[in-house]
Amino acid sequence: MKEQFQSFTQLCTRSLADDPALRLEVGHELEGHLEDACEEERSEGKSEIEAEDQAKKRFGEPEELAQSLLDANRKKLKLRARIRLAVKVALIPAILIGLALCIDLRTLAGFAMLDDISGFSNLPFAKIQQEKLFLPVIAHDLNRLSGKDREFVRSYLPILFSSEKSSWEKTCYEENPESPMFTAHYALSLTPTDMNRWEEKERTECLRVLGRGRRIDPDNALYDYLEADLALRTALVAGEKDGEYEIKDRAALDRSMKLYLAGLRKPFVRTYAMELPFEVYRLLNPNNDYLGILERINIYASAPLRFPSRQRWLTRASLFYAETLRREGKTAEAEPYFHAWRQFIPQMQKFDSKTLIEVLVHYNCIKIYRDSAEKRGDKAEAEKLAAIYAPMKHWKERKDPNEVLLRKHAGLLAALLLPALREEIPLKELGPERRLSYLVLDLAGLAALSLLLAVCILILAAAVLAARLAGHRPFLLLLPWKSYLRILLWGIAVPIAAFLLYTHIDALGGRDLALSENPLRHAAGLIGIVLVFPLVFKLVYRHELKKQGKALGFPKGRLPFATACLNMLCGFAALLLVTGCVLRPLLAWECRHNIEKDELLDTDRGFTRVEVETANRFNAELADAIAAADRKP
Amino acid sequence: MSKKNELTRGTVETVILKLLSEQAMYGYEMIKQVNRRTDGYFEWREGSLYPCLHKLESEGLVEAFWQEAGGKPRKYYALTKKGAEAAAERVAEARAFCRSFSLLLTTAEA
Repeated sequence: MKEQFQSFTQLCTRSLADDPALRLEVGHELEGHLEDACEEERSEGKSEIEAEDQAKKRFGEPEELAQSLLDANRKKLKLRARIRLAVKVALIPAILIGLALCIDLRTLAGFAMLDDISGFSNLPFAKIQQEKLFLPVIAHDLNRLSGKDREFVRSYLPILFSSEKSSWEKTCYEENPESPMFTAHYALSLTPTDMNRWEEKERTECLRVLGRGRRIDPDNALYDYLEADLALRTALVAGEKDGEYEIKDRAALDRSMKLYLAGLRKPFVRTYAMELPFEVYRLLNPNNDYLGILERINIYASAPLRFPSRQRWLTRASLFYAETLRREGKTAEAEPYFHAWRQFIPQMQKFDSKTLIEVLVHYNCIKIYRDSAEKRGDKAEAEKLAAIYAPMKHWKERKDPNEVLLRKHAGLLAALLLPALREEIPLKELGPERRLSYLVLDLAGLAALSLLLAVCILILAAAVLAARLAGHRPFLLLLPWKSYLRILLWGIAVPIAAFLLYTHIDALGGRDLALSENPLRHAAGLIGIVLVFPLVFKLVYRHELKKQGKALGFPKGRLPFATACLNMLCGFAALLLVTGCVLRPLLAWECRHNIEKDELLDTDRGFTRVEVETANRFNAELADAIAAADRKP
Repeated sequence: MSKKNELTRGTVETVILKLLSEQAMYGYEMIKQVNRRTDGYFEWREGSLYPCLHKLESEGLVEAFWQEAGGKPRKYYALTKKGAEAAAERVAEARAFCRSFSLLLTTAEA
């Protein structure tokens, strides 16, 4: 019976052939009517065939009805055709926009870099060279620059990642021969780390640059010290212990130490080490986001601090020279070298004492002077130097007061940067950076979700294509607007709300704890965003499709495979777009909010507020202690 | 076409709106109601009901939804807010017409 009515209703609805879904729905409606009428006729005692014929007769002429149905649905057909066309046109852009919103390559590169730095996980991309990870992070800012600035920053980049000699210093020096900063950097890059690899012409070039540096920056002792360093390397051979040397060339040693004394008479030493990263950072002007912080830390961490090792080397070598003079009975000549710290350290502090590393090196030199004074039996000098060194000694002996606090509550960067500082840190100050660490992982989760959706979309597209090639004609279902509302509510809004609740109520997501202390609950959050999101959406969307499938007359609402694939494909594309449009701005807003609240990492120099404060405090204490020691007899 | 059909042709939309103003119905149910309430006077071609319903739907006077009834999925129609206003208006118009027509038929000019 059903088949007979189907062929009849197909005649009635053939005018709607351009819209297969509408045709099926109207056909199903008419079949229902004919079946009811047929049943009624049968109940009145007619045979099966008579009942069917009578039902069709009561229904009217199919040709006439086809025309009337076309007239009645013309407006609807036009609208639906337009919507389908719009969906077809918007499908690929929607997928691309969704992917672009969900996958923030810069964030992912930053996340990988953070992972690489912190060793948080052993993800495969941690093995990628840091340079490759960092470039996408700063590419965005680099692309904003133009002309000389762009070239300057671009040529500086190799310095960020390798100790290999680059031609950058030479280029900058040649382009700016009157610049004290570029001259200092070029001079530092020319002084050797391995004497054996040196050629005479390089030495000549080095001496030429040192001479030029002295001319354009006459108050800067850097060039005297570098030349002294050069001479020392031919004069001395290191012994087995620190501070023990063998004299290879006494004349070179005397010449070197004369240069050292000449340097001590100048007002300051300036290597311009931090000026460079400051300048690079100023030009790049990164966004005020987590990656901006990473960018700053990377740039500052890469500052070429080439002088501190030479500072220690000059200290040890000059004290060795003074000892040699003393043994030779030239006590008066030896004295300036024994007390050189009075000039040497303040000289360094004037400009090159911005980072904790530099301050630690100054204190280390004080310790070397103290050890030397103790060794030669100069008790008064040793006491003075011990008093100067005391704050650092106390600081080094101090146990980190935040060990448990940081392990349990620090974000990735705080856990990396703070433990060595041994300063009290209030718990609430750790909150914003810890949340930022979670947010970076959430952004990675969002990218993973979008990739999963993209893979599903590709598989569905392949299935639709295969079905088309096999002769099937899948069609797009347009659901009632209430169905779309339900999908939006249960398939998208509720999972997003659940995710936000999970991630923002500490009792649920455990975000009051450090990532390493919260692996299970955080993994649950990530799995939630990556797997549960599309799964819930699929269930809700499939339920609505089934309802519509029933309306179209498919048994149990099961759509033909190709049609189901096509509709699911469009659904996933919409999910990708809506999720990207909603979650990305939300996460970005939250990143900004936490950065505004972050007092630990919010600093325009150095790595953390605590480090800047510690370096400043030690600088002040060191300067005061040296001044006080000078006043003592 | 019979004279009776000519008379009832223009009333289909009003009849549908009137029926739906009482409750949501599916097409076959409407036909049965009309037959029962008019003692079979309205002899519609049953199929012609559907273009009319679809037209009312596209005009926003009725909305359709599928629902199971008697073990079968049925497409029900219900009045929208706009449809309810139109139904009241058209029923009032029809009543006025019937009253005037009846007066015309039952009274003679003095």
